[in-house]
Amino acid sequence: MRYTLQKHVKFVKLLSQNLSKSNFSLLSLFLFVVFASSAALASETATLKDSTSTEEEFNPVTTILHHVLDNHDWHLFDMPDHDGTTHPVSLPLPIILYSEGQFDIFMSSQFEHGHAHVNRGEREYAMDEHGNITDLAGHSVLDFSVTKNVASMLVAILLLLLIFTRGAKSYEGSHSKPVGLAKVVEPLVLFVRDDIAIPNIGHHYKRYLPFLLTSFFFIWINNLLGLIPSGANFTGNISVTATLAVFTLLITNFSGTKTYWGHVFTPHVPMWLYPIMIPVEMVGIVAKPIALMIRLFANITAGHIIILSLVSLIFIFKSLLIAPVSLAFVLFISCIELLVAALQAYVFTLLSALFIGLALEEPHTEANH
Amino acid sequence: MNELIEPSLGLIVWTSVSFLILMFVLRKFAWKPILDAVDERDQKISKAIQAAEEARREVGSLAGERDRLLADIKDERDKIMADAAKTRDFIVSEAKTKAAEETARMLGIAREAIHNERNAAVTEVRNMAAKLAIDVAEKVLGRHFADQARQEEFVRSEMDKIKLN
Repeated sequence: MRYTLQKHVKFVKLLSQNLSKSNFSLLSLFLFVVFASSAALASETATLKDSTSTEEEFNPVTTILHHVLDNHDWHLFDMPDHDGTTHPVSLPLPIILYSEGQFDIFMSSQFEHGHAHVNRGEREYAMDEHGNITDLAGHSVLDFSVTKNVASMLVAILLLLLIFTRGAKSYEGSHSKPVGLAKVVEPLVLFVRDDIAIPNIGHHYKRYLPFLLTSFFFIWINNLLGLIPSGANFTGNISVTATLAVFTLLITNFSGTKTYWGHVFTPHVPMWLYPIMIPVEMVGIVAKPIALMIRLFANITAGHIIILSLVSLIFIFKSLLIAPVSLAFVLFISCIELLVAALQAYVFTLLSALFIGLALEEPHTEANH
Repeated sequence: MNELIEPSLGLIVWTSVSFLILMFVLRKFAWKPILDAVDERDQKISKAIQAAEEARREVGSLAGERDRLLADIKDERDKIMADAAKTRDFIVSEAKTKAAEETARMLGIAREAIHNERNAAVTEVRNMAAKLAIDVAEKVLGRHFADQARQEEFVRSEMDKIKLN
């Protein structure tokens, strides 16, 4: 754990260097994104308010949860009809259901935002306001739909493939220094290798590098996509962080050495303490990835909730005067979130590397404990 | 609120499958080529640095060699110069002795010649003196001097006539 602080500082330095190097266009793009996102969020919340204000008070909790949770369609904005009622305009996404040994695939638009039932053969499906799909006949339904989060993840994967395979292409031919996309890609890849993998894992780092690199960039780019207005909260979803944490758990324990398991089952304590120590060590094995899961989930979700709450202030106070204050705070928090996006990717990868390094511990380091 | 921490099977399956595929694809098409290229470049750079160092060392040793050669040449030159000086001194002294000898020889010859000449001259003078004496005596004997004084004057004048030079 001794690295963390200085490594954090180094990482932030690297980030700021890259930012300052790539001139002002990046900054202005960022500012544009932040302003646009604030404006978009404001309009989105405004339309939500319009649709609800006739019957009930604006409820920030439902609004925020709606944005933070997963959805079966990609909500873009609401459009007022000619008769004054508003209709949500959203991108329909494929629904994939598994029920009674059969897959049913159709577009989410068929549910008409939960107003309609969908018939497939003798099966009839309904969707409640939380997006849970049930079989009206009471059969169990497994939902493998391409939700907003899945779609966002697929976009992220596409971006990752595009950036890094093209980055790798720019290495073709012999160059004395990185050219093209490699200029951007290389410092980051080497950062993961030299500052995350090697110091924590040691000389076996090469085996774990694909996982560490992939998780770092996967989390980072998904964090960033989540910051785009009407983007998904992919990395702030407990299922996602749990999946990633399980990968770390599996890799850590499958590469555990004799020394590592020795620490778990024959810790250096008197024999009579074993009944306490062994369960504690076993809990430790699981607690580490759980910490990873909760940290990423909580950080990203919290960021989204803060931004949405700040925008909701406008509608809670029912005053446009609060808007500038609100937007200023949104701008400030968005800047922080941009940093958090990279930082959480870094922390997840760093801790994964640290856990792998601990599992790879060789007997000779025992003396240092 | 607990919807937030409610895991969804579909999302877990999609995430794990996609992540695994992404990891394997990127490993093959991105991480490996990038890291290999970087490693290769690092090796190339370290090799180039090594080569440069070697070249520098070589240059250094060449400079040493050059200095050594220069020193050798200088020594050689000094030696040649010293030899030349010695030869010169030898030749000069030789010449001096030879000249002295020659001079001495010439002087000897000259002295001898002078000596001989002198002897010859003396002999001639003697002969001439004898002849003169005879002539004077003849003249003296042929004339009768009235007085002693005139006799002596006459002899003197005769003697004056036969100045030896």
